[in-house]
Amino acid sequence: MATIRQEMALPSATSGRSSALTTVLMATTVLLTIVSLGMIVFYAPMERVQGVVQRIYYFHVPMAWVAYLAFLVVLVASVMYLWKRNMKWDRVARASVEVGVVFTTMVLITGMLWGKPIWNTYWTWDARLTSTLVLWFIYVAYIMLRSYTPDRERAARLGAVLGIVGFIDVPIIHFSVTWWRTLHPAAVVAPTLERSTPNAPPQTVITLLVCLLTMTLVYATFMAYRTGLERLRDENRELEQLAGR
Amino acid sequence: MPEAADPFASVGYLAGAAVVTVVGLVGYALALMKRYAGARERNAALRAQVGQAR
Amino acid sequence: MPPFVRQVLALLEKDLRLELRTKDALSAMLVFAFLVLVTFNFALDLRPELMSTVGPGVLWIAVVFGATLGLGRTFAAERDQGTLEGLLIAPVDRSVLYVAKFLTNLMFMVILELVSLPLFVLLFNVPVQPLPVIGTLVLGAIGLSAVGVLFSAVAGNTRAREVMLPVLMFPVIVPILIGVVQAMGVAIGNESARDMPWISLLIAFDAIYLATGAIVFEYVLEE
Repeated sequence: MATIRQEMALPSATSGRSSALTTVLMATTVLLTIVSLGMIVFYAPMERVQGVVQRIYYFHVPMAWVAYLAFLVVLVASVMYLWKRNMKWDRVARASVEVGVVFTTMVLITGMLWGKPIWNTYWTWDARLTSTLVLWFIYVAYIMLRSYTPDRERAARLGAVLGIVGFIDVPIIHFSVTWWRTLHPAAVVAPTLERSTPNAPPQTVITLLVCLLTMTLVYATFMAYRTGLERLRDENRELEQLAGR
Repeated sequence: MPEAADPFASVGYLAGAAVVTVVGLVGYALALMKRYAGARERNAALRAQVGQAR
Repeated sequence: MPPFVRQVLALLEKDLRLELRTKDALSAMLVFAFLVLVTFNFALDLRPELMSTVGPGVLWIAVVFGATLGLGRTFAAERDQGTLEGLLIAPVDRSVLYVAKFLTNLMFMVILELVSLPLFVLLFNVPVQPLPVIGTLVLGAIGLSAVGVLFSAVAGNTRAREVMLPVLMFPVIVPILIGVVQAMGVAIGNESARDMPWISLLIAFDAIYLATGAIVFEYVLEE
């Protein structure tokens, strides 16, 4: 028990403070997750057209929002790094890219599993799925680029450039793909709640908002650990040099 | 809506998506904590080493 | 003539003179694009009735692949010969270098397109309205060059230069790809594409990519 607690207690990315805050964060996240799951199963109304499967919406959509949030954080951290040249911003960017890619991957997979029972196909090149896939590629490229760049400062700089360009491209990609799809509608359009029920009952909205909050806290928890990990790694690298290896 | 109409399959996909999400996110969380613990160990070891050298 | 323009023209002249002497970048681009067009013939069943929908994409992919070849080399030669340091030490704004490289690559791409289009028409027997098609291709090239020069400098710093340039570029230029193919589709008789002002969109995309590239470029080549 002591070792688990030791493993989980962590300093923040920027200072050495051992963080009770993070423990509170994690506890709240776990609690909210349970609440959300309960709501998804029991409280959310049955959707007329799609039935039970529609409930995937309650984690698919929040994860998509969080992915975009993660990449927005990357943008901000990238700009801050280029401005201030403080490594802590680069750590935040690195962490948020990885977490963002994890969430984007989950969005794509849950999207596919939602599509199959509704439209009998796993993948459809509809606007949202396609945009998400392109987004995925951009940030995977970020990870690849950094892994190929040994020099820390150069990697941070190039990463920041990519973090900025990538996010600027997000709305452009979204709009161009959407316009392309209005002209050539996909044979199958990925399921969404807005299209089938223009007036969603309040329980739906409430459940969605709770899930959104939960997912955001999950993101925050991941970020706390992930930036802490980057800080440790950076420190280890410096220590290794000092130790003369 | 072929398979959604079938309650068995419908729940199956929902369960599948839920499982994937949970496994994905919890799995990532666990892996992250493990990496973190590993880095902390390494950090402690290195600090000791550097401390000795001085 | 303001110093900015003078410097850009000087760099442009240097690159073009170099290329005129060796011609290896252009010839590689042209041969490769030609080869891609021919390969498409084997890869896809390009019947005449399909060409109006599929044709623009075939042509543009060939251009993109050829252009990527040229982009990959745009900083490589300088780096290998050490002339890049000279450029960076000189009291010249980084954006001069960006604009100069952008124009050089744009020129090469336009030459590439001017050769590829007749080849395309010849190989696939597609009736085209040359002026709108060339206009669209040039607009596409502007976007390609703007993004490609930036990422070529970014990728050129890494161990796997040839792999990273396409991996970085291709997702980001998806809007250009869509815009060019749709706009070309109008000029090759595909009526449905007409509903959107693709040319205006391409111009807007180009402006954004160029502006962004010019701004962030200085951070790429800081060494």
